[in-house]
Parts: sequence; C-alpha cells; structure tokens
Amino acid sequence: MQLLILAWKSLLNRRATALLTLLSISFSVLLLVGVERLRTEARESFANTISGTDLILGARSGAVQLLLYSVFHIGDATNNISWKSYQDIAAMPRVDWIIPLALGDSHRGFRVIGTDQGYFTHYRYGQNQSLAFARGGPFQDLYDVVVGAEVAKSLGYRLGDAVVVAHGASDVSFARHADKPFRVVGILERSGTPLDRALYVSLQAIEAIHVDWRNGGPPPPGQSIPAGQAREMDLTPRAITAALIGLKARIATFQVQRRINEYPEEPLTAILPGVALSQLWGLVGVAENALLLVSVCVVIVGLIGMLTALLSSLNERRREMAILRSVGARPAHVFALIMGEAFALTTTGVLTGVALLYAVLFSTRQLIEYRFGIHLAQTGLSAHELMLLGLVLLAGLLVGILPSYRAYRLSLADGLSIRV
Amino acid sequence: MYTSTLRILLCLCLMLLSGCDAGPSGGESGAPPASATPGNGAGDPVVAEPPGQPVAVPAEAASADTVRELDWDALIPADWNPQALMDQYDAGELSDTDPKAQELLKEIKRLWDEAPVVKSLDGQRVKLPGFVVPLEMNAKSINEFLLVPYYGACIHVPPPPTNQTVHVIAPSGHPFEGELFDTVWVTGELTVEKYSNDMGDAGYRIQAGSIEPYE
Repeated sequence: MQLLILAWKSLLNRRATALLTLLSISFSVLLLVGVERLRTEARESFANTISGTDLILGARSGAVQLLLYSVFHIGDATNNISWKSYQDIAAMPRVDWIIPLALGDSHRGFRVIGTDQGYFTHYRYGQNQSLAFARGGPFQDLYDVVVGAEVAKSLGYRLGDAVVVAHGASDVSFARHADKPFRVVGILERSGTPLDRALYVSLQAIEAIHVDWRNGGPPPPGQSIPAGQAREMDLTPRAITAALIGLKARIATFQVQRRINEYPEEPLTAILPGVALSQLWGLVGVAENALLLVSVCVVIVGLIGMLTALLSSLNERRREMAILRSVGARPAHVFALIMGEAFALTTTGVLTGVALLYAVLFSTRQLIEYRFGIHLAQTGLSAHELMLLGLVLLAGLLVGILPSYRAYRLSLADGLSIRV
Repeated sequence: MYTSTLRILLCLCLMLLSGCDAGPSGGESGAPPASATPGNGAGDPVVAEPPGQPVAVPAEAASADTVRELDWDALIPADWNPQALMDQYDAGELSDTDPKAQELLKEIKRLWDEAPVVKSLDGQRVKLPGFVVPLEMNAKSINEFLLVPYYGACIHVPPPPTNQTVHVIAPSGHPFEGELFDTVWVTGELTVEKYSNDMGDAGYRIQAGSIEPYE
C-alpha cells in the first residue's frame, strides 16, 4: 500500500511526461479501436441495407458497381434498361416481385429515386424488416414525393411541403425541374441505411419532369410543357436504371440469373446481392488491413514512447531508487514499482482511449450518417475489440520489463554515490 | 456461337455424368457415397426421349435418425440423362449452321432447366459438402445460403442446375460465420420442395442442424 502511494507521488512529480505518455497511448488506442469499429460498423451497415432481394437487375456492368449504385446510392449507373426488357424480366414465371428503380435526379444532394408502390411493400432491410412510414403514406398522385428520414430531418420537411427536383446528382444544380414541383406526402421511418437519404417518386413522375427535355438539355424557351399538361401525356417509362427482384423460390436463383444474363435483346446483368457484397468486402479488405496495420504501428510507437519515458526517468530517479533501497525496499520492490507504473500508464491509456472513442463516436455519429450513410450503432466493445485492447495491455507490460529490470539491477551504491 | 455453347453444355453434361468434378476437389470425402443411385456411365442404355417425371429411386434402408452422407450425384435421378440426347442428335457431327444443332441446344437448355430431383430423399437426414453462396448475411455471418458443388471460377459453363443446388437455412441463432465460397459440411433434414406448378420445378432445401468447415 505504502509502495503504491509512493509510486503515485513519484508519478505526480513527473506529471508532464506521464501525461504526455498517457496521451500518446490513449490516442493510439483510439485509432486502433476506431479503425476496427468503423470497419465492422461499415460492413454491418452495408449488410443491413438489403435483405430478401434475390437478384439485382441492371445494365451490363460489374457486380460491385451495380450493387453500389442501385442499393447504396454510391457512384453512377453505366446505362439504363429499356422498359420492354424490364417487362419481359418481370413476366418471367419464377419472378415473384420486381421493384423498378430510375436514378439520375437529385434534390439538394439527396438522390431522387423513381420507383413504384412495390418499393414500399416488398423492399426489406436489416433482418427482414419492411419500410414503415413515420408520417403520411406512399405516393398516389403524379407529383407526390416520399422522403427518407434523414432528408426530412436535415431539410426540415413536413407533409405538404413543396420540393423541386434537380437534374443530375450534385448538391448544387443549375438545371432544376422548377416548373414541376412535388408535394411531400410521406416521411419514412428511420432505418439507419442509405434509404434514409433519398426521395422517392413514381416512375411516371420521372418521365413527366423530363417530358419536355430534348437531347439531354432543358426545353428551349417556349417549348416547356407545364405540369398540368404533362399529366395528360403518355407517361409510360421509356427506361429504368435497375430493378430489385424477389423470386418464388431461392433455389432457382442461378437459373433466373443465367437467363437474365443471356437475355438476347439487351445486354443485362443480374447479380446476387450477397455475392456482390462479399466481393465488395474482398476489395475493401485490402484497404482495411492496411489501415489496421497502420493503427497497430501507431500503438507500437505509443508504447515505444512510454519505454523512452520510463527509461529516461530511471536516470532522474537514481537517487529516488537508492533512497527507497536504503530505507528497506528490496530490488523486487523496485522492479514492481516500475512495472506497476508501466501497467498503470497502459491501463489508463487504454481506458481513456476507449472513453475518447465513445466521445468521438457520439459526437460524429450524425455527421458520418449524413455524409456517408453509415449508421454507427452505440454498442459495447466486441470480443475482437476486447482482444485488441488485451493485446495492447500485454504489450505495455512487456515494454515495462526492460526499464524494471534495469532499475532492479542498479546497485544501491550507484544511486548514493555522487558522480560529478 | 451456337456450337461453342453446345460444346460447353456437352462438356458440362459429361462432367456431371462422370461425376469427376462434381464435388469440391482436394479432399477425400471418405467412404464411397452411400447412395442407391447408380452412376450414369456412358455405357448406360440410351433413352430415346428426355425423361419426363423423375422416377423415385429406392432409398437406402436408413431410419430417419441416422445421418446419410450424400455426394452430389445422389441428388440427380438415375434416369435423367442428357447424354442420351447428345447421342440421339449425334452432337459431335453437327455443324454451326445445322438447324438440328439449334434444336438440340434448345432441348438441352430445357432439360437443364427442368433438373428433376430425387423425391425419395425427402425427409432424410443428410450430410453434404459444398461451396457457400450467401443469400442473407450480416457483417460476419450468413443466415441463408445456396450450397453448390462448383461455382465461381468458371464462367464458361452454366451455373449448377437446380438439382445441384441446395438452399440451406442456418440454425436460428447460429448463423454460419464465414464467407463466399467457403467449403462446408452441412448436416440436416433434406426436404424436396415443389416451388411452382411447372413440371419438374422442385428443389432441395436443408434446414441445417450444423454447418462445419470442410476439412
């Protein structure tokens, strides 16, 4: 007990170095666990976004790219699918349901998705959860829009508000479909997925806002078609971007996929979401491992910093050790003293690091969800994280052995005799 | 174009029939399959027309609680014989432009799509090795997957037919912790499920009791 008090007082005497050491360890722990946390949360968030969909249909492209733009709203589509092909696929006997997706427009940085009512009945996320409305309901009228929870929150939308859709996917747009404003009729319940960050309109609405556009440009002056007149026109979609497919039996997944891939009239791609996700993780796995390696290196640097501090403190503390020895402390006591200091520094460093992590998670949660659509769950430490922390503690103890041993070896005379 | 597809299909059929690459390679599955299904050797009598309804194969006298180790050939009915079709059309001699080639291609595709199942396997407790193709997944675990004897590496051949695919549902609360294309042993009750009114549209499903890594 007395030894502990002495150790504490001695540490207080050197608080500047001790604090800096502590800081370097806690920051390295923050980085290590933070990287690990972000990695698992990002995966969880991605895996939670889609459930129950057997195949994703798109124009011919890579599986990962199709998955990213159709489900996660990342990146842009390579091409559209003609409406006829979509209908042919939808009519396949093994297809149970199909949700069309038309992408390409946005509203103040949020994607606008043209779809149909099936989206609200068939789409599943998480563990087979369907979409729920916080307020209102699905779109009925041509100019109705349903907004995601994050959209409603950050733009302050309520039912009945007017929304103007912009052409293209950028935050700032100079080509707005201002002549055809939409009305908010539904706000979705928060799902913690990219769905929160999107607006949903009918396929016909997507067709209507582009009805007077020619060759990729806004209508020439005097040729724009007003909203009311557009209603009367034929608004059958000409093309969609992707579709989500549910099958009657999952066993036939490969057969339907093959048939879509070999569809003779248009080059199409069908992917299994689970396979594409696995491929995506295989891709980002390399970067994740690099990040983890770097953060492990940072922990090592932090521990080496502690080693330096302890070793250099031994010089300052020669007198202190000698006095301890002269009043009856054994070499083993001295050893324990330095070991204890190393252990205390690492433990406190780990604890403050974890505390810092939660502080950072808590304060940046909304920003991360807003910017990246990754929902950070406020969960406790996972087994893997605890293992990492345990390893850091162990490494801290190992690092403590060297200075402890040196202090152990220093003779009583060494500290008491003054060398000038 | 047609001929190349034809060749590929032909190769695949031969491969399946000989059963050489039907299971995950690189491991002794131990005892020979305890299957009552005789292998479709090339010397089998030629069946003139493609088989219609799958004929039930007499099952082993196995009680419900013993686990029967299956190999993938046991999932194909003995009389499902695409080779016969090949012989009938004399596939090796057909040229690109021969209308018979296209006819044959259609027939093969139909037969392939049909992929009849062995109905007598229904309700048996089985153990089957294969590759995992995830359907429902979390960050680290897979709740539902398709078990197939081959997949992924070879884009030239069609994916496994439905009678070479098993829909596996992991025990609830114990999802499979693994990744795409992991090789596993799946043990559980096999059910044969009719999923549409079309003739032959049936498939295998295993409500898994255990999923272990394949050694």
